[in-house]
This record gives sequence, structure tokens and C-alpha cells, in this order.
Amino acid sequence: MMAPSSEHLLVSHEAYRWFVTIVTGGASSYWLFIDSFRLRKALRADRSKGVVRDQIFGSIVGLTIGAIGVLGAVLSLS
Amino acid sequence: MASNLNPANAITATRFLTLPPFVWAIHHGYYQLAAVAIIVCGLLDLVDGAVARLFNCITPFGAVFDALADGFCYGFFMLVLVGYGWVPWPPVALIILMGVANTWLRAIYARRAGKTVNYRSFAMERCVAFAAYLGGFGASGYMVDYFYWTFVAMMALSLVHDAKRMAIDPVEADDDERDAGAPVAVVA
Repeated sequence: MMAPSSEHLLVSHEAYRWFVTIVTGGASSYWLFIDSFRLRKALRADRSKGVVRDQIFGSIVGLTIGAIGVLGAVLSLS
Repeated sequence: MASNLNPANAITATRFLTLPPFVWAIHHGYYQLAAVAIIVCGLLDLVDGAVARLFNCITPFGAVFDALADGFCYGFFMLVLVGYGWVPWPPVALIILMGVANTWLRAIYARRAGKTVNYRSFAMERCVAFAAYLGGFGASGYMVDYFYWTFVAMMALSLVHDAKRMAIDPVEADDDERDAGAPVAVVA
């Protein structure tokens, strides 16, 4: 097994780590925003339909994943 | 109906071309280049759906092919990272097992529905999008345990929910509404 190499770096390790943190935090925040909007919309629809109940569940999963991403980005800075 | 030999499916197929450069980069320890291969694969996943809508070539085969490409590419990235010891094997083993179970449940649902249909799970769509990031986290050594184990929890929750819908609950007439206007790229 070969360990991660410092050769052939596109950017410094420090800059790369910041890039990953910003992308993770940014994408997660976007998910939180989009899924809170979708959840609000689904909650206004006819909940007797299975597809609407699934949309609500999916949005809750999306919100949770968004929160996991934001928390992960914050924890990586500590 | 559009032919299966269309631009969208061609783009989906090109996603597999990112796998050899990924393996080469991991083998040589070039983690940033490995992440680039994963990013290209993810971008192609976004592009194929847009192309399908642009050229009006959305097909049932394309939806299934896209879902299979997601599972194969993201699963392959994780397996390679496990093979080289960059990520722990227990969460990846659980993810692969749940992926197989998910595919099996979809086959059951298609048989119950009596037609070729890719069950659209809104929760699993989010999990697949999350999975697209796991390879990058693993290749970068970025919060690996935290992201892999939280993914296992979210996928298990979604799978249990979907299992009931796909294998037990009656196939509802409104299930056809799931794919109405659904972007092909995110059909999971």
C-alpha cells in the first residue's frame, strides 16, 4: 500500500483542505435550504397520497444529511 | 419513445472512464488527482440528466442505467479506497450490502408493478447524492469515520422505509406520479 503522496499536488495540502471544507459546508447549506423549501411544499400537499408522504420523509432525510455536512465541516476546523 | 442509443446514455457510459485514472492515482498516492476523477464522475452525473431533458431522450432504460452507474462508480471508489487501506472496511461493507438489498427490493417492486420501472425513492436520492461525496472524503482523508458512519445510519433508515413501500405496501396508482418531471440524473 502506498501512502498519500506530497508529489503531484495540484495545490498545497492546506489549501486543498480548505477547498474541501468550503465545498462540503457550501453544498450542505444549499441542501438545508432546498430541502426546507421542499418540505414546506410537501406539507401543504395531500398527505393521504403515498408519494407525498415519501416526499416528506425524503426531505427530512435531506435536511438531516445537510446538517451532518455542516457539522462535519465545522468539526474539521476544530 | 427515444432510442436507448442517445447522447444522455453515452455520457452516462463515459462515467466509467473515470475509474482507471482513479485507481492509478490512488495506487501512486496522488490523492488530489483521485479527487479530480471523482469530481468529473459526479459532474457527468449532473450533465447526463440535463442532456436527457435538452434532447428529449428520457427513457426507462436511461433511468435504470444511470442508477446502476451511480451504484457501480461510487461503490467502486469506496472498494478501491478500502483495498488500499484509506478508509475503514466495516462501514463500506455495510454500504455495499445495503446497496445490494436496495437493488433486490427494486426488482421485487418492478415484479409487483408488472412493468419495467425504477422505483423513485426521495430519501435514497439524497443518500446517493451523499455517496457521491464519500469517495472524495475517503481520498482526501477528510473526517472519514464521521461521514462514513453517518452515511450508514442514513442509508439504513432510508432502506427500512423504502423496503416497506416496495415489498409490503400495495402498489398505488399514484406511484406513477413519482417519475412525472423527475430529473433522470437523480433517479435513485
